[in-house]
Amino acid sequence: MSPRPVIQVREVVREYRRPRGSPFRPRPVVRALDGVSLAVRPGEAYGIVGESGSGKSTLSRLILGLDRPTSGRVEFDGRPVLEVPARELRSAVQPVFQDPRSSLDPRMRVGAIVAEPLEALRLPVDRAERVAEVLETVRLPAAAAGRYPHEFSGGQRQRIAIARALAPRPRVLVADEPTSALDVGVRAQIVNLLLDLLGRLELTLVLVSHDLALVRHVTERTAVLRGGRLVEEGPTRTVLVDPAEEYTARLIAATPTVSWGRR
Amino acid sequence: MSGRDGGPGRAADPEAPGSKAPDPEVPDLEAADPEVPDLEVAGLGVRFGGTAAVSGVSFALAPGERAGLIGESGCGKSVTALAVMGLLPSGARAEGRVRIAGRPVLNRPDREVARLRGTRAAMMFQEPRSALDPLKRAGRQVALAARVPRSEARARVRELLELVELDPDTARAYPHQLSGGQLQRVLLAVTLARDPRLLICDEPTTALDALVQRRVLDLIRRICAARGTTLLFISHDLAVVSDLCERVMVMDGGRIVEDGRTAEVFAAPAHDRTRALLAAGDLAAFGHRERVPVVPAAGAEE
Repeated sequence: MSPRPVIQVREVVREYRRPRGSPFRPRPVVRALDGVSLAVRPGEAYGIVGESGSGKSTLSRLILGLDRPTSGRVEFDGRPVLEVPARELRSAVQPVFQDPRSSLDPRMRVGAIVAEPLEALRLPVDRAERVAEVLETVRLPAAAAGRYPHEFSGGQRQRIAIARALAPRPRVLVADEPTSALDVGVRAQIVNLLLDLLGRLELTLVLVSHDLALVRHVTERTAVLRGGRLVEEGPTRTVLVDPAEEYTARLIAATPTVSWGRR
Repeated sequence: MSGRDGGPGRAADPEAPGSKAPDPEVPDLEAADPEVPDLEVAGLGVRFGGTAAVSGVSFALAPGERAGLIGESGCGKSVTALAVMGLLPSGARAEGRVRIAGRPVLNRPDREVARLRGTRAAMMFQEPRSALDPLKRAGRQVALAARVPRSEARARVRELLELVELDPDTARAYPHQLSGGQLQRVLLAVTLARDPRLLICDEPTTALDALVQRRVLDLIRRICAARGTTLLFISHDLAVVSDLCERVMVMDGGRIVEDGRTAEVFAAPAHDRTRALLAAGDLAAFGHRERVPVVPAAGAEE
């Protein structure tokens, strides 16, 4: 049968308590995730889509082990994420965040930024060598290591963020809206880079986005979330082209498309 | 923007028509000719120090026309919009001609241009969270922008909130209590508060997700169609522009490189930049995991 999932999400519920609205009433509870189950197989690109507030970012934090579920569990490689030693999990599952402008420390040189996970995880590698290697992987010149983030364009900064994520040789990359802060031309470059990485490295990609076109282009399977619940899940070709659920169809219909004289 | 220069201290400015010596070059606002374009830009150039941000930009928008101005970051589209609104930063040097409803804007005293803002042309910015005052209730911000006497404010706010399809109770909310889509609607009400003839939107929905974005765009289209508002819609997203605008202008390296009917431009793009934008904006036109062609920007930073 199919190989053991690298990420398995089982019946996960995550509740948050809102700030108290009145001193006489209990703090209201919000269910950000409500019984979500899914499995990501090694080597595949898996999309998680939904509107703002659908729970997709909560789910990505749980997968990264940055948050604990209220009930249910998230497993990495067959073990509960919260029982995997932090060093192992951190190097194996790496995040790429939304806005490279705010996720890169402006006072650090690119070399130090990219080497940060190696440093934090005390990995026994030659840092300069690994930095040069991953910069090359994301097609940035080795000289970039000596410069500061502000000297780079938005697309280049997103490459730096990806290089940092790749530094500890992760098995899984969790990218939360990797292109939403970018314009279309730069988005195209990042799309190409992600495709390139998927082709060259043995990498599992969890792509969390409201950009349906991006998810459709890059991933093999997709989960649709709405209000913390899983609406549907399956091959991207089916889910994002010929969905079973009315909600997914509406989501697809709402996505603007260039429709003039093409297709 | 109208919400900002609509502060209470400014509302009493002696700016009633006729209070100044008439300028023979400047036609009277009220006598505006329906044949005069709502916006006319001729040979517009904007420089920041030694760098040209915009050069030789010319176009005119007829009353009720909806045009998109598209291009990648740094192509000069937002600078063009700021020049049109007379809101260029102090370090910028502008040349050429910009007329709103026949009245010159470029390098004119701000007092003169301010009279046109809000009534003749109004601009809606990208980020509603930074364009709205976090300390004022939504209704108050709409009322300030509308500049109506206190006795009429409540009715006018209600009317404007209805126009942008918001519940009247939204008036009592502070910005942080509203969602991204609601904030965008409040900002639209602020922008439309003095019935501008020309609406300029700078990437108004990029921060919103698909369903919310679609609803805001539909709203902008309906309002423009119902009121005959002229629209200049600035975006890097061709799909959005193809949906909303009958005309599209493509900018690259500070120049307009293509200008035509949206359907024709998108069906047969003449310029490389247009083709690249189309390709990048339309991943669905490519096979699964096919690489997307990328064209470096003309004279841009990268």
